[in-house]
Amino acid sequence: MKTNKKLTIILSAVLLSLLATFCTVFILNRPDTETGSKTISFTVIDAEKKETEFEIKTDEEFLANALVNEKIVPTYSADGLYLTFNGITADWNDNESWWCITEEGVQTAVGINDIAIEDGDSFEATYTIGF
Amino acid sequence: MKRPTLSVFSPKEIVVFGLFAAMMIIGKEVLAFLPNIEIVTLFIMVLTLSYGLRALIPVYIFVFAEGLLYGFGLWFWSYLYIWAILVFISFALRKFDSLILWTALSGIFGLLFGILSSPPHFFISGIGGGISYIIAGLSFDITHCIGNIVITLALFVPLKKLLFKLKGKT
Repeated sequence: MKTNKKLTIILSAVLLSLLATFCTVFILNRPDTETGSKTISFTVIDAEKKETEFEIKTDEEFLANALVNEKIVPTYSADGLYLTFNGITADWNDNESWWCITEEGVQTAVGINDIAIEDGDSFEATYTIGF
Repeated sequence: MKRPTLSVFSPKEIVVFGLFAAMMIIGKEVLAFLPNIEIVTLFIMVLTLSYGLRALIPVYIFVFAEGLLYGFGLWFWSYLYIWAILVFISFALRKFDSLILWTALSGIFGLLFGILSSPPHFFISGIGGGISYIIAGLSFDITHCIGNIVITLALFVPLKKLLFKLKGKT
């Protein structure tokens, strides 16, 4: 059996250059990564009625998870009680303030833990005092 | 006086060819969960080194068995010539013993597998369709190349020794 160094080197060089070429073509042609399959809008309305709107791209199923990911709420709350949106805290014990969650102006029947989100949805959290 | 025989194959060859055809089919099924990682390339190279062009027998047993298992789709047409190409290249290089050479060959074959299997797609879908097929399969070809390199590096020498022993070669 022959051991041909020249042919071995040529084949190895061909392999390496083909591999480099293929990797380059692959990187140049791969599709752009998706940042989220759903786009929703979330508006925080503070005590002075100033609105801060967030456009959120997410794959999350429920609103709370999407808001946690965007750090609009600090952490996920298993009991569904959220005091702080966008750094603004509403605490009933302080001044009977609370966050009214609405979807396109209509108050939601459930908390943000249980609100399923779809592409194009629009929600608001309004700082509210009393009823 | 040599006894006349109707068979063009020795009993040992019939057994080895059948066994390796079965191992190629089973090996492909066992590794099916790893896309484009296969042991067929190594088996074909080593079978060709041992049996020359007669390695085409187990190769085509494998090809037709795959057709029966998966249906005779567009992929089948490329299978009819792709593995034969590997047999002929391996046959041409049969006098070379370098593990690196055979590893490089298996890697190149893995990389070019997509291009080699694209002609039916060019025929059916035109130039655009064929090129799309090649580009869409690039990641699989790269995986195929790396898988072939690793498998050949690990198993070429022991498998070649085994087959040479079976054949009665040194």
